[in-house]
Parts: sequence; C-alpha cells; structure tokens
Amino acid sequence: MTATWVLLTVLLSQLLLSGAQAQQLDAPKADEADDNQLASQLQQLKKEVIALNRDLFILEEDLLFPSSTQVVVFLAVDVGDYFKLDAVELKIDEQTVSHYLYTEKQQLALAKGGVQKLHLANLPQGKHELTAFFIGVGPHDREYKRATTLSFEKGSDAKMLELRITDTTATQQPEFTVVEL
Amino acid sequence: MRCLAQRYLHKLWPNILRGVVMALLSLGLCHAQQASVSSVNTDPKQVVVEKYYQQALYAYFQGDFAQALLYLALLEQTTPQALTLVPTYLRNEALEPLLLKGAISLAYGLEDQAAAIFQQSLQQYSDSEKRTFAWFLLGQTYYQQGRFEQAQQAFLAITADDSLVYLDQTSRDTLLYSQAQLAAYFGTEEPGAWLSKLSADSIYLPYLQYNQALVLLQQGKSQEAITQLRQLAEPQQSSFGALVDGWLSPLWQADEQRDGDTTLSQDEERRGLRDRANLSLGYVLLQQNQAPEAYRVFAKVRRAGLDGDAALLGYGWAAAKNDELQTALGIWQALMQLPYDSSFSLEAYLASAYAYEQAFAPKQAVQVLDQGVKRFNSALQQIQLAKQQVQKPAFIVALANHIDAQRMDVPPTDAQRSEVQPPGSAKTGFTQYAAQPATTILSRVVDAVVLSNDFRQKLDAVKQSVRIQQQLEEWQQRLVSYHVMLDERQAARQAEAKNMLQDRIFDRLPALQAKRDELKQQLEDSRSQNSSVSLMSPEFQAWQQRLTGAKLTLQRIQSRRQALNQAPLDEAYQQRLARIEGVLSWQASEAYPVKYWQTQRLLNDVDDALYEASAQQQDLLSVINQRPDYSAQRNRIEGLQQRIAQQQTTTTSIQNTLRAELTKALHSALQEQQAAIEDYRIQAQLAMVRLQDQALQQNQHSTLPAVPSADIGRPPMLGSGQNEVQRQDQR
Repeated sequence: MTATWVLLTVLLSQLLLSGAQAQQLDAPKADEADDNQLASQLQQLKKEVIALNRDLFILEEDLLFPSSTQVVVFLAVDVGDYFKLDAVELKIDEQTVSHYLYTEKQQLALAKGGVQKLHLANLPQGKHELTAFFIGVGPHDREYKRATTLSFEKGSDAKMLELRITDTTATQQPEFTVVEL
Repeated sequence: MRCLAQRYLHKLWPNILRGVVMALLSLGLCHAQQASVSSVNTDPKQVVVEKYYQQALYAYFQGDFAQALLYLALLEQTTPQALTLVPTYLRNEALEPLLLKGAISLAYGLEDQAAAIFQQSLQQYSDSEKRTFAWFLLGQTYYQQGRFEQAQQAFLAITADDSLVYLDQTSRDTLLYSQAQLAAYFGTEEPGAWLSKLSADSIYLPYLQYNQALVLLQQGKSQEAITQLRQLAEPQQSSFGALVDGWLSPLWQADEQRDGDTTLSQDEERRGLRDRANLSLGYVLLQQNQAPEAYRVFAKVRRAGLDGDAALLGYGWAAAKNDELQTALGIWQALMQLPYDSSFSLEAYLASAYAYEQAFAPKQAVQVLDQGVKRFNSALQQIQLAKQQVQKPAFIVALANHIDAQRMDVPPTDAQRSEVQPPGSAKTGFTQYAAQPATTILSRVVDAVVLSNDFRQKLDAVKQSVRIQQQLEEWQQRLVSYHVMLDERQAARQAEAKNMLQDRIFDRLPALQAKRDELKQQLEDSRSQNSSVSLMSPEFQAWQQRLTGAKLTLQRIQSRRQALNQAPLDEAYQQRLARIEGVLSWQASEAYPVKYWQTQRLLNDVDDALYEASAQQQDLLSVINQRPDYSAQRNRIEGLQQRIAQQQTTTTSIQNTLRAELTKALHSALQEQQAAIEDYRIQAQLAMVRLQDQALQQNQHSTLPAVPSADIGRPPMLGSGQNEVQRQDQR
C-alpha cells in the first residue's frame, strides 16, 4: 500500500503544481533579455510593415487612381434603427460598378461610426450620374429596396461622394441620400 | 497532467484584452456616431481626416487591427497632428482618438507604441475619466509585456471610486483579476482577498476560487480547501454567455472566426473548471482517507473532458483503496487500451500490476508488466520519430499555421496524411478535442508545451511573421507588376509620339500660317482699294463673275457684228449691264465697313488660335523630345522594393530565431517525456525481475522473505532519490 500513497501524493503534487502555474505569473527567466529583444524586433517589424503598407497605398492611388480621374464612393450609416442594410448596388452612368453584401459585423461597424470605401474608380472629366440601390429590412421587418440618384460633375480634382442612410424620427423611416463631400 | 486552467487563461487573455479595448471603444463611440452622418464639412482637408478616421473605425470594429492602424497612419501622413483634428462628433469625452490609437496598438501587439501613447495621454489629459482609461490601458500594456511592477503601479493609480464610475463591469473585473494576479505574484495578498470584489458573473471568479483552494492546500488547510473545491465543483448558472452575446460579442466572434473555430462554448470552460475542481477534490479526499467520497467525486468528472483520463486513474485508486481490486483493474485496463500513449495510459500498466499483485496473481502482474514494457518501447520509438520530425525546418511554421486556439494539433506526417480519415473526423473544436484526443506522443507533448506562456507567445509570433512574410511577398509581386505597367505606359507614349510625327501634324501649322498671311494681304488690298468685293459672300462673288462674263460676251458680240458690217446691238443691253454693275458696286460699297470689321475680327481670332497652337506644338514637341521614363514613380517603386526586401530579411531572421527556440523547447519536452517513459520501463523491468524471483523462490519452497513491492505502481516522478536507492539495492 505504500506505493499507492506515494502515487497519490505525486498526483496531488502534480495537480497543485499545474494549478499553481495557472494562478501565478511567469517568473523572470534567465534569457529574458533575449526574449525582450526579440519582442522589440517583432514590434519594430510590425511598425515597418504598417509604414510600408501606407506608402504602398499612396503609391497605388497615385499610379492607378490619379486625382484627375479619381472618384471614390463611401457608405455611412447613421443609427440604423429603421433599416438593416443587407446589400448595396451601385451604378455609375447606368453601369453596375459594385454590388456589396454586408455581414453583421460590417453592419455593426457602420452603425458605430465607421465608413466603408465602397467604390474607387477612374472617371473622365465631365458630367456623370450615380445611382445607388439599398436593399435590406425596414421598419416592421419588411423587405426594403430604395434607390437614390445624384448627377455630378467630375473636375480635375478627386471626387468624393458619400451614400448616407439616416433615420428620420418624424416619419420613422430610413432616408437614403448621396452627397458630394 | 494537463493544466486546464492555464490552457483557458492563455486562450482567454488576449480576448480579454481585446474585449476591454472593445468595451471602452463601444462605450465611447456609441454616442459619437449619432451625429456622424449629418455632419457636413466643406474643408477638403477636414473631409479627408474624417474619412480616414472613420475607415479606421470601420476596420477596427471588424477586428482588423492592422487595417485600422494603416488608416490611422495614412491620416497622420496626410495631415500632421491629424488626431487632434478629428471632429467632436467622432470623439467621446473619455476616449480621445489618441487613446483609440493606443488601444488598437495594444490589441495589435505594439505594446511599446501603446505604452508611449498612454503615457502621452496621461501627460496631456487632466480629466479623471480619460486618465482612468489611460491608466487602465497602460497597466494592461505593462502586464502584457511582463513589466509587473509598472503594471501594479499603473493599476494602483486608479482609485476604487474612479473604477466604479468610469469602468464598465467587465473592465472592472479585468482590473481586479489583474490586481489579484499581481498581488499573488508579489506575495502581498492571497487570491481569496479579491473574491468578494469580483462580480458574481465574472469568468475570473472560478479561477480565483480554484487558485485559492490550491493555496489553502499548500498551506495544509485541507478542510478549508475541500470546502472551497466543493463549492467550485457544484454546477452554477452561468450568465457569462449572456454577457458575451452583448457588447463583447463582435470581438469574440472575430476571434472565433480568426481561429477557425465556431464551436467554442463559454459554458464548456466552466464545465472544464468544474472537472478540474472535482479531480483535485478527489485526490485530496483520497489523501484524507475518504476513498468512498473520492470515488463519488471522481465519477463527476466528465469522461470526455480534458481531465477524463486523470479522473479515471484516480477512480481506479479510489476503488483499490476500497478493496475493490476487480473494479480498479477494469478501470485501469480501460486506460491501458487507450490508443494513445499518455501518462495515464502508461501508468495504468504499473497500477494494474500493483492490483494483480495485491490480488495474489503475480503471473498476471508479470504479463501486464511485459505488455507495458512493449508499449513503453513503442512509445520510445515514437519519441525518436517525433524528435526527427521536430527538427525539420518546416515543422514549427506548419505547427504555427495549423494550430488553433483550443486544439493543439500537430500537423500530420506524410504517413498520417495517407490514411483515410472517417467523415467528420476533423478536430477543430474543444468538444471535438474531448471526443478525439491527440493520438501521437508529439501531439500530446505539443499540447503540454503550448501551455507555457513563453512557447505560446513565440508560436503566435511565428504565425504573425509567416503572415507578414506572405504579405511582403505579395507586395513585391505587385510592385513588379507596377514596373511592367510603367513600361507599358512608356511604350504607349512613345508610340503615340511616333504616330504624331508620322502624321506630319507639326507640318500643318506653317502651311496654315502661310494661308493666313495670304488672307491678310487680301484684306490689306481691300482696304487700300476701298473695295469690299473680295470680302463679300460667295453668292456675291458669283454674281460678280456672271456680270464680268456677260460684259465680255457683249463685247465679243459687238466685235463680231462690227466685223460683219452689221448694225451694233441695242444700247439697252449695255445699259442693263451697267445698271447691274452699279447695283453690285453699291451693295459692296454699303457692306464694306461691316465686312471689313468682321473679317478683321476673324483674322485676329485666327491669329490668337495660331499663336496658341504654336505654343502647344512647342510644348508637345518638348514632351515628345523628352524620354517618357516615369523616373519619379520608378524611384518610389524601387525604394519600396528595397524596404520590402529589408523587411523580408528581418522577418526571416526573426522567424529563424523563433523556430530555433521553439524547436529546442519541444525537443527538451520530448527528452523529458523520453526520460519518464524510460523510467517506467526500468520500474516495470525491475518489478518483473522481482516477481519472477519471488515465484522462483516460492517454487523452491524457499524460506527467504519476499522482496517488498514498493516499486510497483509508482510512476517515475516519485522522489527520484528514493527510487534510485531502491534500484541500486535490487541491482
């Protein structure tokens, strides 16, 4: 029976040891300095990658979407109590240029103040027409599809447009607009 | 023995941190967006600031921290001090954009940057709400960095009142838990002191309760520990699920998606903790000679849980203690038949041999030990193979890519890949883990090693570095394609210039200039002659020509008639022609000033157009003469390519260092496992020798006393010194 009890003691001590690992923070290690250096290197790398990504982003905009032809369309949602956005279809000059479906996370991100860059393209200078179709669920859980249109003039500067979904408390209905920024 | 609590904490901690950050942001920004859309700003610079900031928010709320930081970087690149320009409707009183950046940096793992930002915030803000958030986040940053003294100081800067007023429940619980951990680390207070401060719903509560029970056990206060463990082992209604479904849900969903696991249940975590509490309680009761009670407690541990095997082994010992050797043997046999080599399945051989010996069945004991030795040898072979596998350069990277947060699967070997897997056998979640535990020693060693903070962090770092490497490679390819694009643009421009030259577009201007000079001369002539005939309309010109023709005809007819001695024509013809000439002359004279003015104006316009065309032609010629090499763009591309190449070198270097350290840790763990199994084998072999000696002695009717059976059933970890002495004696 001695062995039994020795075994039990060991199992228990192992248990205590594993529990103690759970409760205690790791003690400082001998090679902590090396680890810190590695962690710093990794952080530095991440920062460099973000900076690289930023510069690449700017270069790509300059090369692919110069301001003389650039048109960007954002989407913003205000509150969103009266409308749950499922999809947006975007037409420019009667050509469908974007059809976007939204996940719940994206809907939430929009409702929390985020904006989505829905479309980025090149358009020649002159007059154009943008039409956006909003598809989703409106008040009383009814399916909702609305459209809004804007005629705009593309000049030599980059053109920024924003599709906006706002709640109108007076009518308890969503409102859809396109504005030039 | 698997450390469940630690496993959960490792999974939990990054989520907690992100959860805290998310919670703070949720609080701050839910008000901000109310007026966001209605705001109209006409300043283009301000519009750019707003849109970049809002895109950062859009990325952040989807859990895409890298993208959020990218937009913040773009914002700051576009406009210096841009964070101060973020409009009021996008800010909250407590959560300034600077704090947002710090929080995102912290969540992305840029702890140094986050700490600097929070320190800057503390210097900048005097408002106690903002300062509370800043201290809290700074404390979390230090905690994550392992700078515990600084973390403790940061947390101490938050008063109890401020935490109650400004922090939400979960953030407050996180703060309390962190403080409890730090107090235990510095030995200033026991975890139990913090129990009453945590909310009843807090997920930290059972952890602290369990830890407190362990501390009591270590202090020898067994009865109090038993009481504590009993409380923890009781099923409790959890409201954590409801909490998770609330404001934390986006974050948790993000993590689950990121980890590829959608089946993780928070209730499972509580059940796992109850299993651990029951297991601990069972062994404590066994130690306290309360085997029947221990028997019941072990039975509560779920067989499919992480502690199922450990509980089964203890269950066997409880049965043996109750003199139910047959039951104990049945249980241990079940452990022995497990398809994988765990401590419990291997120890079951020694325990079974012990039971057979106790049941006066030495032959069966020897048989079991013989089977055990064969299995130990097989396990040792597996360890050798595992060591070779671990040494392969791609192993760690594959492990980092393959591993998920709940289930530490080892990437399959070539042989395993060729095996046909039954449908639905993919091991992706915690519950599936329970049903299908790791089958190889390497998997189990990885499971154990990955519980270490250090190992896990390094494995995460490898995973991140692999992602970064892939990203850098993709960027390099894109930049190469931009080079090609510029080459194409250059070729297109050259072709266009060539076409222009071939069409002799530039020769047309001098010809037009000559024609214009001719016209000008005509105008001058017209002015000198004071006649606008040349300026009149084509119709007038036609009339004039007809009149001239008619006069010539009349003159010819007169000459012929005179030659033929005929009578001259009637004077009326001559008079009619003179009258028509007079009318035309009168009309031209009348129209002269107007026509002259119009023509002069047109000529001036033509002059201007010709001048402009001439200037444009000069420009065009100079552009054509220039070589279209897009040097500025090419320089930017090349600069980026060089920077990417540098970062690729750095990434490779970091990855190699991490890989070497992780390989070393795994190798060391395998070495320990090997030593343990070798110890099992030695114990089994010695016991077999002893039992065979005993049997021989009995056959010879020897009167010599039997060798004591103390080494059967003892795992290798039992006081090694004592083991060694016994082994030496027997040798």
